Amino acid sequence: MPLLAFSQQSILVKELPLLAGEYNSSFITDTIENAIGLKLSFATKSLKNNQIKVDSNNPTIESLLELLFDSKSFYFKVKPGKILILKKRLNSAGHPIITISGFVEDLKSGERLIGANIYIPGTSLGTITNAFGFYSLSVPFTGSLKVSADLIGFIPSSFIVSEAESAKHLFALEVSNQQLTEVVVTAQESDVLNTQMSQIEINSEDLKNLPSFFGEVDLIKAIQFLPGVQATGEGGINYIVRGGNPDQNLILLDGVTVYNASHLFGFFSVFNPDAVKNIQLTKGGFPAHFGGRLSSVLEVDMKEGNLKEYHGSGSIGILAAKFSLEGPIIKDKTSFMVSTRRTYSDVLYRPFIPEGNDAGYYFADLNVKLNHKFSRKDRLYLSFYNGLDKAFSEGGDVDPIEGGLKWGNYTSALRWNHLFNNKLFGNLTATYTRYNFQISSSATIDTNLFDLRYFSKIIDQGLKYDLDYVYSPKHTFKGGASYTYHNFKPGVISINQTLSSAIDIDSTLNLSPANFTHDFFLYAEDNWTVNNRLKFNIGAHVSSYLVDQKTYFSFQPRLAGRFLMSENWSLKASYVFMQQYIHLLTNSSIGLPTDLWVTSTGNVPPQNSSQVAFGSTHFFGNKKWTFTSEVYHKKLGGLIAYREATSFAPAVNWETQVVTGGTGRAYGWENFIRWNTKKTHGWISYTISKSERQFDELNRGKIFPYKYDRRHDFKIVMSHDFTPKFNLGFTWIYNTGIKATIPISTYTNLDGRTTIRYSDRNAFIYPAYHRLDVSMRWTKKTSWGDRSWAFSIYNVYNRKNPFIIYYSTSESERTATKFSLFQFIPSFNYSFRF
Amino acid sequence: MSKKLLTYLLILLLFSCEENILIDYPEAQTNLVLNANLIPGDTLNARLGLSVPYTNRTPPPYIKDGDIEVFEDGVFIGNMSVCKSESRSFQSTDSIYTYCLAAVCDPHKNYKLIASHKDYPSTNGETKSTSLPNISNVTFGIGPVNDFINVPISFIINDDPSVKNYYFFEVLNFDSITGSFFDFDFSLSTLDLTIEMLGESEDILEIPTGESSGKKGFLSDHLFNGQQKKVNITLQFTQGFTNYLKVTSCSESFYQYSRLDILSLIVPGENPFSEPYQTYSNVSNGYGVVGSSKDTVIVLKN
Repeated sequence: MPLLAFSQQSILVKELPLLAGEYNSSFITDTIENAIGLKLSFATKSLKNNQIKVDSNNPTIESLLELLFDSKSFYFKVKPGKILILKKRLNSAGHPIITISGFVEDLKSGERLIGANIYIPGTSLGTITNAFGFYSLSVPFTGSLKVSADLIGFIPSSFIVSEAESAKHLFALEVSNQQLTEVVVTAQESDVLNTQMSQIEINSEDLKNLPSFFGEVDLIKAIQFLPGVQATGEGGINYIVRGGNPDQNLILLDGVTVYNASHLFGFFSVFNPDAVKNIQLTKGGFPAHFGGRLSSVLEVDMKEGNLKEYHGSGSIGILAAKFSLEGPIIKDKTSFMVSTRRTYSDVLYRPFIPEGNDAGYYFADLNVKLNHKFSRKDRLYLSFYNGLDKAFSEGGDVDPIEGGLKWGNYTSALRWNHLFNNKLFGNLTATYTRYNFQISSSATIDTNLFDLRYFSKIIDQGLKYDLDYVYSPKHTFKGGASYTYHNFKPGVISINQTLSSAIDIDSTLNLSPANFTHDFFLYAEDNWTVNNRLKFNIGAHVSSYLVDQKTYFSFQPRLAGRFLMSENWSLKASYVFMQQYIHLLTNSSIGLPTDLWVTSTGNVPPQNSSQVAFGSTHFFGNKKWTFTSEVYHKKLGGLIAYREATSFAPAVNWETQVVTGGTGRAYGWENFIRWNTKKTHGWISYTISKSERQFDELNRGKIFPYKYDRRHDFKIVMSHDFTPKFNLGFTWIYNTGIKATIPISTYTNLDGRTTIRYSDRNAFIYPAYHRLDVSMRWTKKTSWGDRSWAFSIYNVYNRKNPFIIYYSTSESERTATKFSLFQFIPSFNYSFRF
Repeated sequence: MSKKLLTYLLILLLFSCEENILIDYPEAQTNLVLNANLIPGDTLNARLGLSVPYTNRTPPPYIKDGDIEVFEDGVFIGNMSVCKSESRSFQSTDSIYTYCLAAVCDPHKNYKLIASHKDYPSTNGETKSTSLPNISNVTFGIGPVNDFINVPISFIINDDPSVKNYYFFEVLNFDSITGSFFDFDFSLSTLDLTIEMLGESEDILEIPTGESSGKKGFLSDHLFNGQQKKVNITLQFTQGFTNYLKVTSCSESFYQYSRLDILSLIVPGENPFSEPYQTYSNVSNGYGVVGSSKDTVIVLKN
């Protein structure tokens, strides 16, 4: 391509047999066209003058074109059969604007890299790759330009643009071995340069040295160590962000919503770390393309599959085993990734169960991803996840009753990337997601069968189109549209009875009405670079939601700004308004599968929030340290909660169980220091925050603290490579206890009954929570890959953290008793990679 | 055997996770408890008791050495003293003391009760007295009544626009063999919400059927705003009993107390994940409720 370009372009230096003198401009254009057989393509008004003066004999075509057209404003491009006379895009200083675009990928695997920095060193000009590794950067050409690409964990790469012409470049970055090379990226330039604030990214490789829980490292537990993120309960994966509710966190797996991200009653997440490439959490300053949840967006990207060679990995822990395989189907064109995981506690204790009976619990996951490159411009991704939790009991001949509980997610996404040109990138996504929960009980006595099932279900089908367009160095646009069809079945009971002596019954009872809703949104945003220091992201997210013949509409402005104090320091601010049309009915601190996702209805309006945040990001110590400090204030509206004295009741319509119209307020100050030196990496975070709620029908209408209103939250995460073979990691967490409503006294009421008087809602503070976890990992290289042994201890100093406080009773008194769930748990994991 | 062993190990493991702790909660002190239901046409009665910290399992006692002052529309009308009450709302026993004032409760007056005791902080509560509910056009079913047949009941409440009146109603049947009353279940403790969802502008309030746990149907004042409204309900009746409709008009404090008190009867066990209900109290510096109610009972005949 460059050779061809050169040969075409070289026509311009061809000399024409023309004597010096004054000529009519049309004569010159005809002479050029006749001499080289190419047509000149231009607008007549582009000509400088009708008469032009040629100073020398045998001038080149290029010199004649420069006499005909103002070379400061036009440039000439040779195309098959013609020469294009194109107007130069110039900036205010008169420099031509060029566009540099392309993709960034992993040199070894060919996988596209998300969030890589593309920038012009020494300037504030730069961008980051999108979710498909694409970048496009418009910059003024001031001479030879060096364009660099870097990403934490990879060796930086750069190339030179020497001509004032747009260029395409594929960056293939090599994974860095921090032990062997000095050239490592230690900080994300985009942390300082971008307008985006309140966003943290974790690479799956960062997680492998974190302490595990029952031998399993969990992605969501890792993000619970980030500032502003708090676990709702001991060992659980439900989390709250900046004082919001757990249902206000959008979890996306390859762009598809995951409704219940928990396994094992909330103690493990559905994300198999071996299948995950990257996770990114956004807590505030949401750009316009995000919507549908109020408090956070967690994007989990699955590995694409190695396009060049086959690789596999696996592990065995005390709870689960997993295995992954990836490789090319057609080298450099099509690849696959398959990863699966299963717990085996049910298999291990089966020998202890009496013959004829069976009982157990297990969970299993399957992740599959395929990707295919049709051309440089078109690529297709197909990703699929299926997870299942199942608890079962079969009584055998002695006890004819069988029962079970099962729940699971199924998600799939088909994504088609298309590069229209070097400035315009499009992505079409078709998604399908389903979450099922089911309780079943059946009995067979003689020839009579009785079967009762309760189930709830959500099915979403969606279509989305996103566009990235680089208009100029100052403006980069994003836009898109999305439609999702939701099918909510919040509570259905099916009864099946077959009696040998009576009429059979087979009926289905919808306890809560099923809802079919239409969720539509449009968005547009502009990344506007005002000058070298000041940059904005301005956008709007417009959504509408049709349910029960009622249409909700929302206009959600989004604004974020960055002011660059120096190369290493920026100040940021943002304002967002968000609206959410679905709710999670939960009253537990752990993610029980009975937690019910429900839609806004004619009676239950959507929830909304507005958030303002200010922050500062600073690099220190040769960019090995990053310090981020942010303050935020969030207002919540349209909240729902279970009415007092109610909880999950499958036999009742959920709409009668809730109170609506709640409001909330959360504010706090987050501090985050992250470092990434040659051998050590980790972070420290401290957050001071407050979160409150108000419902007319709860707590006698008075404002009350949110259950997870923890005033202080301090965390350390650290990992150190003592040798290339041995790594030691630890995490320590301290936070103020959660809030609870407790009984404080008894008295006789108007009807003569003894009544319990409770404290104001959430007025009691649990004892503080703190815990130290440690991990050690030995890795050994082998001829076929590497293998490692990891040993972890959860809760090293055996802190009895409160999970629940309840009252135990004796004849004359009641005693408050603290129940702690997990104390000093050692675990072991063996893993291998080839 | 091995299954049992596993179970014992599991129990041992879980119990080792328990630890008694001291909850130091300043509000868990002993307070006066003042309860009064002022019934128009009856003498004024109240009860005075003490609260007990939750950690103590002693039953909360009534006290007889307290003092209750009564104010009517801001004017002091006398002190209540312990009496032998035969009142419908407060009957005295050996350990349950009733305080009385020889004055009749008038409708639509403001009553304030101030209770004091030498050992505890004084407390007070205030209410507007209600009046007899104005019920008309009571209808009960059509045709013969068989066992467990759905029978519609309807009645009209004529709300007094000059005062705030809250209502609740009950349907009871009397079993002459056992001599006991049986309450019909209505649609939940959250019935008032259900009705609000039906729309306040409707002239007819249809009480939904199907889900039942509450014994009373609650009707908030703002459903009426002085208008006449028809209430429709369908219940399953059994032949052979005498059925009654009881409609109570009450003050806001009595309404709120009764609504939330229902919850204390339906709380599903000690679910640690369930949010507890908050009892209603309009008594400052103490507990209890000072309210007013007046009911009317109609025999249902078809």
